[in-house]
Amino acid sequence: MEKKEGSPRVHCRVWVIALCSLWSLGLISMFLIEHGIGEETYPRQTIKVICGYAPGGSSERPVRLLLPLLQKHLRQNVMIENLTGAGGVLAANKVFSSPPDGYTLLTGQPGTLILLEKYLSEIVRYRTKDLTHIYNIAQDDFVLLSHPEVFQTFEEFLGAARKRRLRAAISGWGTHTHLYIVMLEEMIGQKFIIVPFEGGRVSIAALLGKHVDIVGTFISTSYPIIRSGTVKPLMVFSDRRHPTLSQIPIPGEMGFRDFTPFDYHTGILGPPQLPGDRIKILEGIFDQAVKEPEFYEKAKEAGVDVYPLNSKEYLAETEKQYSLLKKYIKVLKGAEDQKTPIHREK
Amino acid sequence: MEIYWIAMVYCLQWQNLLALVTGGIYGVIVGILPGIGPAVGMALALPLTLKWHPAAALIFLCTSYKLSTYGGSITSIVLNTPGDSSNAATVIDGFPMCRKGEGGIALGASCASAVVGGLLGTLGLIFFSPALARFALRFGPAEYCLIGVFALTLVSVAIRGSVVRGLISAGLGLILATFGYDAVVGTLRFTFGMDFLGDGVPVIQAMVGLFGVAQALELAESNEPLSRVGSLMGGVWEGFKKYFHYPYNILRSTFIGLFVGVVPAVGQTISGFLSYMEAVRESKHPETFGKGEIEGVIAPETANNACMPGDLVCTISLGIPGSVGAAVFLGSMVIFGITPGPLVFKEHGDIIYTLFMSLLFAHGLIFIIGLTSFRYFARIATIPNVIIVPTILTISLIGSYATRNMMIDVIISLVFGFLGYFMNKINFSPIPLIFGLVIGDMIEKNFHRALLLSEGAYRIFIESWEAKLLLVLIFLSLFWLPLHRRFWPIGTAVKKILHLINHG
Repeated sequence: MEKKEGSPRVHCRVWVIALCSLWSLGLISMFLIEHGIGEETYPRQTIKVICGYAPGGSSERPVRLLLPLLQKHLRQNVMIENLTGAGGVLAANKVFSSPPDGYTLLTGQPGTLILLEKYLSEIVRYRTKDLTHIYNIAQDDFVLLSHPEVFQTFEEFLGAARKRRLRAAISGWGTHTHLYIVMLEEMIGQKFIIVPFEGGRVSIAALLGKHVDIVGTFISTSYPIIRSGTVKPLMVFSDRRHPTLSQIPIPGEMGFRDFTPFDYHTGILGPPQLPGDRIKILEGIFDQAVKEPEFYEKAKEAGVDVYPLNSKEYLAETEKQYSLLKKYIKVLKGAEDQKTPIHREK
Repeated sequence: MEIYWIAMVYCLQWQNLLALVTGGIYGVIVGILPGIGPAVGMALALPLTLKWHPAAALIFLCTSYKLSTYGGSITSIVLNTPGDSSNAATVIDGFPMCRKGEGGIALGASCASAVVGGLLGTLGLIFFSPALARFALRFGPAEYCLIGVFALTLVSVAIRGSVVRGLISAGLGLILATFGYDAVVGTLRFTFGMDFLGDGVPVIQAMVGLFGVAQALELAESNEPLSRVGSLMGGVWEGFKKYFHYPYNILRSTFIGLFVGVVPAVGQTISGFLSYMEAVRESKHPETFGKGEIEGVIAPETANNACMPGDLVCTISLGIPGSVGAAVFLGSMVIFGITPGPLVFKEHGDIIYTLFMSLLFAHGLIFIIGLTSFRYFARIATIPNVIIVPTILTISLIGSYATRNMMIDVIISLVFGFLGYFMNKINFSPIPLIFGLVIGDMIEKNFHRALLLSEGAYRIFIESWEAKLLLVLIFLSLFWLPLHRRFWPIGTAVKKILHLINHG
């Protein structure tokens, strides 16, 4: 029997074909929109910001707080991917070898990356200077802490350091905290027993238990415990007084005029040779987001010291750190001779 | 007391209850997937919670952290693959119970462990946080080293079969623990120029390989399903009731878990193993362990679940996280404007106490999930190998990849998978290897640090009373059996003489 036009079976078939076509068209459109095919503008897809440290830490905090504002201004997804390993080397290696398309970025501290270049040269595959410096978000200052029952002021600490070798905790060999403790040794002309721990918070735990005499760490890591009075800040290693610890002296005020801080800036970096137009877009978006009052409020609550620097200023700071590191390399090499007692030649 | 009532009422608001339930279900799923773990689970969920009220967000994250430990025990029992390294000790007796067809009983015991151990640990957190935190700070590098050595002395207790093979396996684990960057001396060891070994052999990926992949390979060449019996005997309720037949084990394991959790940087993995080994040592029938003994599930799971609230003691009271999971949780608190530390109870007491109350309610959730879902989990053990083998491989390798999004982690798991398969074939247990890998790093670094602090003087290992106590425990652990055997006849003779004197 022939099918007549307008018969129920024909109508049904037409509907099915129409629905399937609409459904396929919808899928294809979603795919095209997701990948921005046909669009000329950047960004067309999710931007991944890689962090070389565990989630929730102070290293990724500035970007984590900025995420909702970045997504709002970029009108695109931004996600943080935590790739831990070798103190941040894995993350930096990955971004350094990523295609320079602006979709894989790094959040980190150029100062730390420079130190890792020296200490973990066997596995480092990047050059910090060659990473594209996009925008700096925050900065952190180094603070010397003591137990309130041990030292109340820097002068007390200095007096004790001249009588005996004090035990100083740091958050790892070859880190910023190591460098600052070694600089302090140079400044006061006394040696410490330097004891590396796995991170700032663990070294603070050692201080609270009075297993060490002093701890070198960053204000963002230790601010809550400083505020509670459980530890005593002795000195902030900066060229200006810290806004939240304005009563704590800086080296210049204590007679150490040669001191130059080795900066700890947290910002956004990209693979080498990122196109200029993409750098401009990202710089503009980060600048907008960082200057929003909402971000300032959250950053203040979270202990983040906002310190915006554009791409050129950020790179200039990094180049300054390279020359500073050359100055301190001799000091660091001297510290390397101070291995554990079981390694010293008798 | 008023603040607890207010916190309870606040916790029962529909938003917070919803956060509790969804966080719990999410946590169980995260725990079931091998290799993901509570830290990664919380990190994945954090962006979704940024717009929530801080209380609801923290309840969600904390509950997912809590229930992921319980979720990990399910795969340990049913698939011989720990969901996280903290569940590694549960495999030793949990999986043999499943093979005997007692998977439901094992799951019931694990559920009861999670409820009771977790409740006791949470009560410790709520009422004794400041005191526990002060106690934890007394432990320095020397004490940490001695804790590790004590745990190592118990390895021989837990080894079933050839002691020599078990010690070789543990020794291999200790050697693998030396790979990577030594933060104390500042040198790379055995990285062979490969950056992915910069942090050493990754424990999660090694564990996924040694258990998950190796199990899949063994099943692939066998016709028998996971459960040799092919059916289930006993249910979760039976396991739940049997749990309460071992009160001494429960209390001891809770104490070990809470103690290990409170002391920063020791970890749930060690609490599980310590508790298991103590259970073996103190048992009247140690030969039954490793063959499907229910106490071998009760001990590590109770300790793990008491350990997690212990982790939060220093995290919340001092702002010092005790583990990677606690560090992620601490970071989340800071992002929501709640700064952990001694002032947190004063400044954000309402949120903190609500969090504590929600942790208590979370145990009720574990009970409900355990009772309602055990049948489905236990039946996994009867699924034919043609389905279960690719499933185990897929889930395990996805978990391996998900930690760092690196293909090399999958390759590491495969390498350890073949190693585990080969070890099982020649009767070398992989459990001491994992234990050596976890504990070796802690012992070495803290030994080094202790000698730095004392400028090379070994007296630091006997200075504090905590160190002296640990040395006594190590001595007893090593020499108790030989001493007991040597002096038992004399002791028995003395008792007989005294009895004769007393009774004429």
